[in-house]
Amino acid sequence: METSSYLDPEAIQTIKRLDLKAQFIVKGFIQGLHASPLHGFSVEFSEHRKYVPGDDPNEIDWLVYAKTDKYYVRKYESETNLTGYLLVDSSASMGYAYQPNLPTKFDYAISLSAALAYLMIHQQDPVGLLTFDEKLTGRVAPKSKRSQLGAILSALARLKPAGTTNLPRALGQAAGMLKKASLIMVFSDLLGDEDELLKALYRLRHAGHDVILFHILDRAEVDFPFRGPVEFEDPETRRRLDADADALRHDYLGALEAFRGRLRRECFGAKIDYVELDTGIPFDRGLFEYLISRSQRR
Amino acid sequence: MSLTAGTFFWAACAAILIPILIHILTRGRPRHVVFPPLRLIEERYRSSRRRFRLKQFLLLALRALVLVLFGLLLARPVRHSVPTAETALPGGGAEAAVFVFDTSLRMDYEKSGRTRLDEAKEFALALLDRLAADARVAVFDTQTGGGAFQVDRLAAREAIERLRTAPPRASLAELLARAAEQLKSEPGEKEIFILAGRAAADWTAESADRLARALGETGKECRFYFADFTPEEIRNFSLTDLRIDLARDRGKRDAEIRVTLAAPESRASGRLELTASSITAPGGEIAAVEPFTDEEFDEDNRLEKRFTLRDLADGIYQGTITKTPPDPLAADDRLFFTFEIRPPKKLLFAAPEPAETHAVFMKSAVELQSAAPGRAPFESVVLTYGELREYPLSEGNVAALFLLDPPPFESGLVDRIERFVRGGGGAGFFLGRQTDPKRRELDPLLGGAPLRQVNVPEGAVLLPDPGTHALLAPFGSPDRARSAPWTRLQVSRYWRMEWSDTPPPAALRFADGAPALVERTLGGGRVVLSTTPFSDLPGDPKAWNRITTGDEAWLFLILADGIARVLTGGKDSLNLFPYETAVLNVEGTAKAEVVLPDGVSLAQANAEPAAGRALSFTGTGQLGAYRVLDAESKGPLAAFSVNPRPAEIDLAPVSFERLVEIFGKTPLTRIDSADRLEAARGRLDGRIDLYSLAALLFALVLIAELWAAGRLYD
Repeated sequence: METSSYLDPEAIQTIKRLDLKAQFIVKGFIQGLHASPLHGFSVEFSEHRKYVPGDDPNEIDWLVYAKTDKYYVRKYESETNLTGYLLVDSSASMGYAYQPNLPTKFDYAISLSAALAYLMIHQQDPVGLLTFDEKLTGRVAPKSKRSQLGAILSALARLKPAGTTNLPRALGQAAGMLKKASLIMVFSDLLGDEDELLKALYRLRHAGHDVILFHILDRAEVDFPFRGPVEFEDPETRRRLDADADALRHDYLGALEAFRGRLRRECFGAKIDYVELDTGIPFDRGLFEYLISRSQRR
Repeated sequence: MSLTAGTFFWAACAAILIPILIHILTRGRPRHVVFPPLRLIEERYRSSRRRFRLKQFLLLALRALVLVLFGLLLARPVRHSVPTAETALPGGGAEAAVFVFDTSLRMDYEKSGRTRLDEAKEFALALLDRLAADARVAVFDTQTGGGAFQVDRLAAREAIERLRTAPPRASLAELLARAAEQLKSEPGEKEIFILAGRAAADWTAESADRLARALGETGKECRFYFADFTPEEIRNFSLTDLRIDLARDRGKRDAEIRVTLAAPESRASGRLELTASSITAPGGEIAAVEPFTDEEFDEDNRLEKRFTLRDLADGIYQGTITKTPPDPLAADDRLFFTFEIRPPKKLLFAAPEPAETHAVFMKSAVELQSAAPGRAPFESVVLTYGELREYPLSEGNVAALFLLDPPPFESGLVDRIERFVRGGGGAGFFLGRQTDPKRRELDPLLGGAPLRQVNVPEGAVLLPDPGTHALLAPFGSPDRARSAPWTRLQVSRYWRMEWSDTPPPAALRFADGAPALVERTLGGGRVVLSTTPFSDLPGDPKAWNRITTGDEAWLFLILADGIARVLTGGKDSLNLFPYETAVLNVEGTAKAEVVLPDGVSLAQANAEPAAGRALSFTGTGQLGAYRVLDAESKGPLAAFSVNPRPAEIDLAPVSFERLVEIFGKTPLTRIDSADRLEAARGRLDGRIDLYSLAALLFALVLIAELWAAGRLYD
């Protein structure tokens, strides 16, 4: 996968094509005039500097231009010291896509990560990357330079989903690494022990971290479109089960809803943002809906 | 059931292995799907797997059933009701067949100028052509009561063409039983073609039972086809129930003739015309007309009309009553009648001494009833048994004997009584304490012998015959007879009889089933037997019963009337039904001739001219007026009339389903044209039904299989 593929111009353009309210929110945190919808993304106006080629013309302060007849752009400074970490699950299950025309959960997670990383770096927030399967497997230290986005996406591009998942352990390791409160954005299908996962999330919250849990499932994992006799195989454990999908469908959907419902309730109680996504939902739409809803809560 | 092409069926059964093998071979190869959230599935895995296996098994069973049914369809399942494929002729058709015709008067019913018998004959000739070339064919009809195999098909054709309507000698049920019996010894396939209407009178419960018994033994080997000639709409009025009451009062001699007109549901108006004349004293023609309107009929669509003929001179009268306008069945549009005006006949009451005392109940009861208006009176004579020995019974003026508590008779008296009865008289035996069971001289008269006395101190219960019995006719209807308080007639002693043959029908029985009052025919006369006497005196502590003097003695009056009617002929003995024996008083003439309604004269020899009315004539198969002439002088001696029995002209039908019910397990197939005989034969085999059933099942199972497969395998 080419790095550029994560810098999907359409995705970025889509961000810019938010409805009026969304545009206002985006422009707000870009210009530092409003609080960021993401905690820790917010920046504060610092000073003006002369416009130089390469700067975004949108950053030109037209009020100053009116007074001085010269081009100045606004210079921003992070309001907080919070750092963003993208925690991307790279286990084998994330490489799953039942329908070939839909992205794998891993691709979906990278698209989300790229968009969020772009958003943060564009606003000079430091953002880093942690990847994991049974444990942390890769790390890109947080920086706010524009080159950071390329570094993150390059690291992601080198990853191939493999191995089993142990998210609680990875979260525990991350918590040990982070010395100050950070914004932790987790991208995973969360297929593991529920209780351990919740314990790990609670520990992050107790350590002062802000956690956003992006629960990414394949569309087939949500809809269960299978019929008749099926041999199901777990891509991580390689266990197989023969079952009648018709007979199983109702029970599975019930179990899935129970699983997501519990996460929903527990995360709400712990003030963790729990974002349910599936690969059938365009990731930009899913992201923006989340950002808007988060901004409305702020 | 058998299979026309059984190979297909067995091949299909073998083909069941195919889906089983497919099932086994593909059982372990469900579609492979990678599915990360397996742990969510695992929780429900076991229960879903059980359901899946059950579905798989059901699908496998459905597929096997599809194959079996498909093979069954190809095999053309056939149900052979009687014959087997081995015995059937290659070209179809039976090797032996009987055509059973209803040639009763009902088949004279006309439509468009053709009688139903004409149509039946035409139909039968068409059927005849569809039998195997060398088939043996018999033609049975209700007049002859049977038949034999014709020598060839041409003879059978001629036999059918010769058929004419006539009063029946045998019922259809009897004919069918005989036909099945006739075919019993024939090899190969056998068919019986019934060409008749569905007249309810032919299919009474009694005849149905008789047929069911007969078919149970022989019917299994035959195929029965019913060609139905029931009129679609019955528009026939029937003249029936002729009754002639002769009354005389001090020289005035009247005759009242009553007939009943039975209408179909569509009533109409018309008139009845009576004509009569005396054959012994030629005089003027008697004529009378009784119009009727549709409003006069009762709820049962019946109307009784009376003709009163007054001041008749002594003599024999014959005449007709004719209904106009005519209707499709002419046979019942005219009734013939004969009656005789002459001095009253005598009723002899013989009883133990004092005879007047012992005979008082029976004599009084009979006289009381016969004195009613419109009834012919009798002259009562009371005798001791000693006087009876000397009394001339052969003079022709004694109508009936009432033998109350009869003692043992010497053989001479018994012979005279028997001759009297066979000559048309009636004798009533009311057994009592004088009966000696060791003496058997009365056995020929009674049809049995008193066996022993039965003593029931608490009183035996009497039960009436549930049907219609002539002795109970004065009650008016069986329902009224049944509703009478019979249980209150106190009988403490009676004779149990031992019958030499089938017991005669009993009007009354005791609760233990022993007959109390029976009637039988002997020659041209009748015998009534009561196993308990009607002559015990009131206050007699040893009285056998209190029938004549108890609280319900009115029942005795009605019983006595019934007994008297039966012993004196019940109805006018000069008006007969077909094939009844006419007992004629030819007053000692040695040679007589009987002129039939069609004008043919038959010479008759009187075997015992000295015995008076000993001439019996049995050739009464024609409807109409018969006359008996002196062979030499051609002078009239006697006359009688023959009319159809009401049942023989009753067209009311039963349903075909009822006939099928009567035939029971023996299949009865209706055919409405000769061309459909082959199809009917197929239906009788059950081929079409089973094929259709198999096809339907196949379609249903196939749909179920497709649905189940669609559900199980996406």
